[in-house]
Amino acid sequence: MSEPDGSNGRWELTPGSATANLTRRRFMGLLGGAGSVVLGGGGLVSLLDACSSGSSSGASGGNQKLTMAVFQEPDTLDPSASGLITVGTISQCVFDHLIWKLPNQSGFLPGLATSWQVSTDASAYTFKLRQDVKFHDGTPFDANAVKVTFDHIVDPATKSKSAAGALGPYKETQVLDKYTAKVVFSQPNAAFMNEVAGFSIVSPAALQKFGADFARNPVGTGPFKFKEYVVGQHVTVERNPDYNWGPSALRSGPPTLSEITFRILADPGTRFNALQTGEIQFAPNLNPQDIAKVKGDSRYKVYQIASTGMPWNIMINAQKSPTDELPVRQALQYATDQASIIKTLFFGLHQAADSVFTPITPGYDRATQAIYSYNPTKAGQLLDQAGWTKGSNGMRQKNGQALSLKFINISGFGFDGISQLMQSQFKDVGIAVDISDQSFPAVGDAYNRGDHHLADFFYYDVDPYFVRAIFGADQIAHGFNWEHYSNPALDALADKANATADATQRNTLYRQAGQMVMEAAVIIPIYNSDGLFVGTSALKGIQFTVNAFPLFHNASM
Amino acid sequence: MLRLIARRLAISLPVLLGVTVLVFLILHLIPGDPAQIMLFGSRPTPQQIEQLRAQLGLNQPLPLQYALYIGRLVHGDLGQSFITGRPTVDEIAQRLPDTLELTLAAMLVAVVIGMPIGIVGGVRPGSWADRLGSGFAVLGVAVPYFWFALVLILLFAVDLRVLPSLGEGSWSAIILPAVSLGWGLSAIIARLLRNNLVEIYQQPYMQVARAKGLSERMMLYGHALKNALIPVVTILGLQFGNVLSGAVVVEVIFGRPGIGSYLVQAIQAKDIPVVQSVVLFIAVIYILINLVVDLAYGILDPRIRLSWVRS
Repeated sequence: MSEPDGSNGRWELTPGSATANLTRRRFMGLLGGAGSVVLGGGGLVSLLDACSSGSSSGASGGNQKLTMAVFQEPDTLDPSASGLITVGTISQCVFDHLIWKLPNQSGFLPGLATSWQVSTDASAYTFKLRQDVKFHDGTPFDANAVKVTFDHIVDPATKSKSAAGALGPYKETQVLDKYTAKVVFSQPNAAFMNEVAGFSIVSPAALQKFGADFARNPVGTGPFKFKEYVVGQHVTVERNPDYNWGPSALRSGPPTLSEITFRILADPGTRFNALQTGEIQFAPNLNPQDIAKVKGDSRYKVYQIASTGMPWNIMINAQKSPTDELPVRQALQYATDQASIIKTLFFGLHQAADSVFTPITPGYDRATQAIYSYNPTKAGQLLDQAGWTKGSNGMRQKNGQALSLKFINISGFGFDGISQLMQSQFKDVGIAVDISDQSFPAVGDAYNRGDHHLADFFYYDVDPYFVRAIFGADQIAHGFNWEHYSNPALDALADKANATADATQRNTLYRQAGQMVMEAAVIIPIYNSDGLFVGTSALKGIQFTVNAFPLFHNASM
Repeated sequence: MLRLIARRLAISLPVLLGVTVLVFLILHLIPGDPAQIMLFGSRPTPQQIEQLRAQLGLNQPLPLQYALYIGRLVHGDLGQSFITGRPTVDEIAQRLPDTLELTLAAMLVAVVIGMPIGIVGGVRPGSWADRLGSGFAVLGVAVPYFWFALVLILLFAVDLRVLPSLGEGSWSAIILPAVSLGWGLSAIIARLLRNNLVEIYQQPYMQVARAKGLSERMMLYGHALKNALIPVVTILGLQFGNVLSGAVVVEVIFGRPGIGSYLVQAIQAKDIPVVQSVVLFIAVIYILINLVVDLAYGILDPRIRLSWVRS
């Protein structure tokens, strides 16, 4: 499964409609049906607030039951196999990670591993494990469980949709002693350090006992035990009273909530109704207008959670005339009014993006990457200088060729309104845009061929190595380099970064990569990828991962 | 009568075969490769996609794929879901009861609301009650049920808080979905029954009955209603399919499990075996219901029963 360039599995653009193939750790914004995209927000609840009290406050053993809406039917409850956000959310309850990475916490936090060591070339990771941890089936957790988990992920029979890609060039796990595991890669894979905070450690005994039925009987070490899955209706998990190994930044002891029911509600309007009636207390991905409605209402709390990854953006084809000209691409950057898009389409519920990385992604650097801002006058000047002058009808042309761009939009993907607004913004500076809608995933062929000047894109990932998969020269024909941007210097930079174990040095390299991409002006950032939730005000203590998955360790009602 | 049933069932076989051909063709003509969709998140190589296509049998010529599908079907094998890998029969069996429950509840609502309105209007045409009923019937036919469902939720669940907004989880949960789904049909029933009754009351045998001094009650229940109900039963049967298809949307709005919401999900994911199986199930139910309707005719109308014996 692993490709030598280590770029597999990092791409998670996903359509609103196809629920089958959604990936869990990066892709958040399943756009439920046409036009009901909802992600993002406007800093309504600070992360500090959301991640307040850690350790063991509040009584445990009570009878607090939370019902949360999820927007997809699980394909499987095996975290190693699924690619769905819903399954990722449930897995955060049932399973634990070796180490944790949380927003507003510097570095990594101990989880099932108490300490870890990375080889200097970032190709081997040694984890010292806790010795007091038990799976929900009563079997003890040890180094073998780590080995079984990673072997299970790369096993072709698992048909992993997300985890195998995130794992990269995995070679093997060596059990050094009962509580020491060494994960070895066939080549440097520095991204693993960020990715490992997302892998769920599964019970080897349960895997053996249930076989393929593990998909409906997930067993982990997490704060909640799997209770039942009623097809089409809900998944329920219950408190693990033995839980005593949570990271202190979350809550080390058993959770306060006695039960969480994940109600499967595909329609955003249905979720909002149920939230208003109190049938559910926490909901993801509501319609922007509904969120705007409850924003000032004291009965509700709106959570706008920043995520790592690549913003929602428009990719510019750097090989097709006329966007093969740098001044034209730069002019498009200056002609795009993000603020107006966010205000008009999303009721201000998102944060304008300015780079190839979202601000909390390692490698983001505002000073060197946020080099464009809305300035139609400057856009006009750049085009004038490049010889694209305005004709009598106000539209630009050069040597008889009209400045006209083809925008291939993925219908129902969350970009329908964005593409239309950009069409009008570009018209204001004299650029004609012709929008054609195509469905997903057939659109991938057109993008790979380079039929377009402009394409839709977004991406959720915990590690900036995704630049290699999205901008790599070898990813144009079949991969996701839909900007058709070919720059060996960038590829070398990303590969060097992924072979650098030292976090500071790595970040420096990714900062350079980000700057390189922004100077080439091959993507127009629109808004930062994020997670948007609404809960009742009685619900407290929900925390989030760096890629905006909710955590219920310390939640109470 | 048994022979009739046997003959009707035999006739329905070509219908079912036609359904399988249509669904098969439509699913394969929609753009989008299921293997590509399934593997999308894992950035597959072209070889991996080809491998999965071969595994799913998608690399074979369409006629052969169809023949293999029919071959398995005859042996009772409806295939496995591309997504979960479980038999589609199991997946459907887990969801079918919810859909049948909703559909039957909606039909019940339609009858309980529609019949009294139709009878009142038919017995006293032109009265204020008739006008009110006719107005209701026009509204019921004109207003789309999904819009009506949203209004019901806003009123009874969000504002008044007397009923749940979600259509599953408690005994009262079925009320709003059933009313939204059955309301339109109740209007159809009311209008049809009223017009039938108005017509029947003008028949000579009704005048004879009145001349004999039968009470209004006897005239209605003994003579008029029985005759007026035959077309209503037909409509109920014909509309069953509509109600079933309406369940698709109503299930989504109320967050109810069922084969309707499952079908939508499967179509979007191009889970071909699931779509084929669900459509086939719906077709079978449709055919069975129509058979039941035909048999019900005989119970209501002796002339039809007689024609069975003759044939």
